Amino acid sequence: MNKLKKLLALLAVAALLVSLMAGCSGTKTAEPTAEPEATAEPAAEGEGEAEEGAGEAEEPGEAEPYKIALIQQHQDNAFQITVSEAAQAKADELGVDLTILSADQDANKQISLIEQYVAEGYDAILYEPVNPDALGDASKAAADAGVVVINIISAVTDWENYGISAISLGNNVTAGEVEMQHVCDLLEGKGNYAILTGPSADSGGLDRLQGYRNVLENYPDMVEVVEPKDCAWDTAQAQAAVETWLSAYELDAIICENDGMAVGAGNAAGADSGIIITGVDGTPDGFEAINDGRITGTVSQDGGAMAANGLEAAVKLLNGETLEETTIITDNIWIDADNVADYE
Amino acid sequence: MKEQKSGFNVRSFISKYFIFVIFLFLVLVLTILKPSFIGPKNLVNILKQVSINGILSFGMMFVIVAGGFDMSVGSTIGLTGVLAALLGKGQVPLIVPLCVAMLAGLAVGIINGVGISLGDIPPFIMTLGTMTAVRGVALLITNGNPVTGISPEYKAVAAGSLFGIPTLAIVLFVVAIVCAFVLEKTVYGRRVYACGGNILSARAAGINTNAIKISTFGIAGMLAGLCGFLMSSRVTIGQPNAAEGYEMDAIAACVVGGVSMSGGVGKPIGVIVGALLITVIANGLDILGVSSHWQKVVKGLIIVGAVLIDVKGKGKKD
Repeated sequence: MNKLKKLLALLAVAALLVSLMAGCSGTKTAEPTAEPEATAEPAAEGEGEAEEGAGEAEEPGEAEPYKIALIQQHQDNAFQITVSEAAQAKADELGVDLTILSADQDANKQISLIEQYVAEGYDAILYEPVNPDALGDASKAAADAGVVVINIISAVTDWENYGISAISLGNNVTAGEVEMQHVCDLLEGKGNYAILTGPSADSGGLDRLQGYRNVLENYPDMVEVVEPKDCAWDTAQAQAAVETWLSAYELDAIICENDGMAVGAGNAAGADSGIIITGVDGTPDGFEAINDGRITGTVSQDGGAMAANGLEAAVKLLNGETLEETTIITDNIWIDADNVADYE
Repeated sequence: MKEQKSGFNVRSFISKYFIFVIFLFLVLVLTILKPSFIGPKNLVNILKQVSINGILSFGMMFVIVAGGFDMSVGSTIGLTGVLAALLGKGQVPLIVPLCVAMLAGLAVGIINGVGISLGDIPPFIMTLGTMTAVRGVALLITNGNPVTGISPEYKAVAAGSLFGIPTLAIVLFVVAIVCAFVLEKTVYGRRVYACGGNILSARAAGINTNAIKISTFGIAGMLAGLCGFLMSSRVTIGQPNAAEGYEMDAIAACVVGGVSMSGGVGKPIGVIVGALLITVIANGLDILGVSSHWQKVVKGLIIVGAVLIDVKGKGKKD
């Protein structure tokens, strides 16, 4: 009896957990996913990929909207929120059924989500890899099952070999180059600078740093006064580091790998300090700081456009069209006090 | 017996004294390497930079001295900072966001305390849970975005100073005085030490150990709320992902300052030195322009070294 009770209790807890999780993902997934597992008879559609590919068409003739999943790296900052919003807007425009999910920075979770949405018969999966080297096999398996797989924002290493149809991204090296070029131009190629970086092992951050270095090669009179400081994208850490630097060094420019850290640097230097402070991203906190003169400018990484372009490519491929370019690059835009109003 | 006892005190005094020695040595070395380290401008920086961690460390001290452990304070700063920023856009007097932040922090702390003392959940597990959940709530409220547009008055709180001393440091000073008084001069304080020293004899002595434990988590949460309010003022935005890992710095400050992880032992002055040491390591290495990779290594070594001394000191005691 006792054992039975325990077992029942366990089952009840398990059921509760499952329903909780279902509830959570239910709110996260986009609203239009009306009938989740409509077990329709497998009507072979025109461009239907594989058996699981297009199992949902109940009425022949007018095609059901494509079911597309977007698996974000995470949904915890302004940049990623822009990505979700832009993707949803594009999905509404194209009339596709979009489900937005988060991998919570966990490659393992991302793989599970890909497997799950392949099994649920989605037509296409867009995702930003949590890790460039961990998602290859999962992508290959999805592609083999007839699902169109597209990377956005960043790409899996050797993505062509893993069945990934297209990648839609900005270029972090270019973003770094654009940022540093503006700094060098503003200082006329001569001055003391310091760099604030994201987490030391972050590939996006390393690419931006590479971009800085590429430009600096042409400017021998730009002097790096201190080692680049890893402030982990964090405003408070950046603020403390720059306060400390400013009490010991003459800095003409502080180049930051994201806007959050640029805001911290701007707080430490104060408004209209005469120090060139720049960021990357184009998030609301950065715009606010540009407006009140704490930071000079930022390079926008147009995550929204990357997601929208990726989605468009997916629909093209599902329609049986071919893409002109399988690597879709979104341009970086320099935003400063002159044009910030256009982007807020 | 008596002589032995005074012998212990000398040893424990030396082990605490050692932290001062390490601290002064570090200051000396940094000053020689970079004279501007000790300049008035950088001293102000150090005071600003030590404040939030210092306030947090005092909350942590209550919890650890009472035999607990709190992983959730960093997340609590994130949540309360966001709440304070949302209310700090000038629509209500500043006292409102301050109170809301501290009450929200208090609520998180009481949830922790109740789960741990009445629910018998190990402190690490309970506060790990609230750490995750509270961060989630902060992200839900803001949808992941930073809260911008806080009022100039609110920004001025952390940017201001009195006779050249930053407001943040004055707040830390007041918190330190109050905490030291409560812990060392009140019946409540003695009960907190008793609770962590030997919970069974504390119970036998008629102390309501559950109430004491809940109250220490409440204090830690409330001070984290205060930190949240100050943090948003300092960085001028409310960030849902602010203060990640701050719990670790607070724990490190306590441990380095001689607060025993097994409870019942620790002096407020030690916590001040611990917090200063953690801050000076970061500040000093920044001012030297040392790579942040090295900073992590050095900080880790100093924390482990300090605890080694702590453990050795105690080993001789038993």
